[in-house]
Amino acid sequence: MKIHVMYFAQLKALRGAECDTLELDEGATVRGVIDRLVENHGAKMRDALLTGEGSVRPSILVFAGEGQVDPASPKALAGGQTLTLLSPMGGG
Amino acid sequence: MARLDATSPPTLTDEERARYEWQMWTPGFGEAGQRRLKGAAVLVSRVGGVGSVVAYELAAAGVGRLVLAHAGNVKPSDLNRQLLMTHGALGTSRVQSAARRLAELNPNVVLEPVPENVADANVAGLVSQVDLVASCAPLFEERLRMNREAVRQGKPLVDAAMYDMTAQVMTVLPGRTACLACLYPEVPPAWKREFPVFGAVSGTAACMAAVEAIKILGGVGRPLEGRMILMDLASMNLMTRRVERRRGCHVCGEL
Ligand SMILES: [Zn+2]
Repeated sequence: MKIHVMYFAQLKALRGAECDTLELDEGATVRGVIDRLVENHGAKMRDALLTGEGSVRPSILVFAGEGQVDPASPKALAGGQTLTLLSPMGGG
Repeated sequence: MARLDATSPPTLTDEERARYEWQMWTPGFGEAGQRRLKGAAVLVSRVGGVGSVVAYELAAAGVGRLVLAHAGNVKPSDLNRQLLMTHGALGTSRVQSAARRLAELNPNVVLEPVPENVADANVAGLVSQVDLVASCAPLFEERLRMNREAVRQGKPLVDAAMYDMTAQVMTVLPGRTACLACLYPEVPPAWKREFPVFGAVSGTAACMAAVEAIKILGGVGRPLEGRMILMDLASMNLMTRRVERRRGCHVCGEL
């Protein structure tokens, strides 16, 4: 199934793109998407998204469609859904 | 919000009626809304790329009193976005430059320039003087501090932030919506002090934050209750996303 991913703040700069479309197996979770991004984009993306222990950083906000979701949720995403990933913005 | 209604809002002078005439035509706002703005006070900190424009819009709209907190002197690198700073004010106090510009625009507004950033020592006093907090500091420490105190005092807070050409705005209604600490329980480790920014980007987020403040204080429209605006101005992709309260939030969890 296809999952669209939109990046905001430093994640967008790090990815060098506003969005991606990923091909994932049915039943994929938010964590599955994040693992795929780490796999595709290397150490800097890993460091931005994950703590040293390998869990998703608490300051990374994840939205599926319009609603906020827990990145550790075991709930399967639906094909065609858009995930929005927001790293902390603090400019003023 | 009970506090705002506790006393009858001040009446308008003829000069104020003329000044605000066009915005008083807004359905649901009118002279009653304008009087509510005149009776209201807002803390804006800092008055940089975001806060300058928030303060400018709130002064233009006729918010009665603005407390402006920002330390330091005007630097050349402020001038691309901190629109209340002027070339002539280089090397002098930022908040004094801001207050001077605001007074030129609208002498009816009571201005309280505070040449300090929000810190543990001053946050309670600053928040206690106002009805709403505009959280416009670039540092999470300061934003989380204003959030904590606004929630403690039961006052609405509007938070605006940006990075590069992306920006976000959210409104905290204590006990009703997610607070900033629900989303960011601790200061994020990756944040750096310097960031790419056009003034038009920080100013866009700022105008939206100012609209939120005007709506809440003036009693018009529907604020961002439990929603965050996200915008990518590189592509002009604007959206809202729901944000959730976090069970056990150390700031608002007891409310
Ligand atoms: Zn909270």
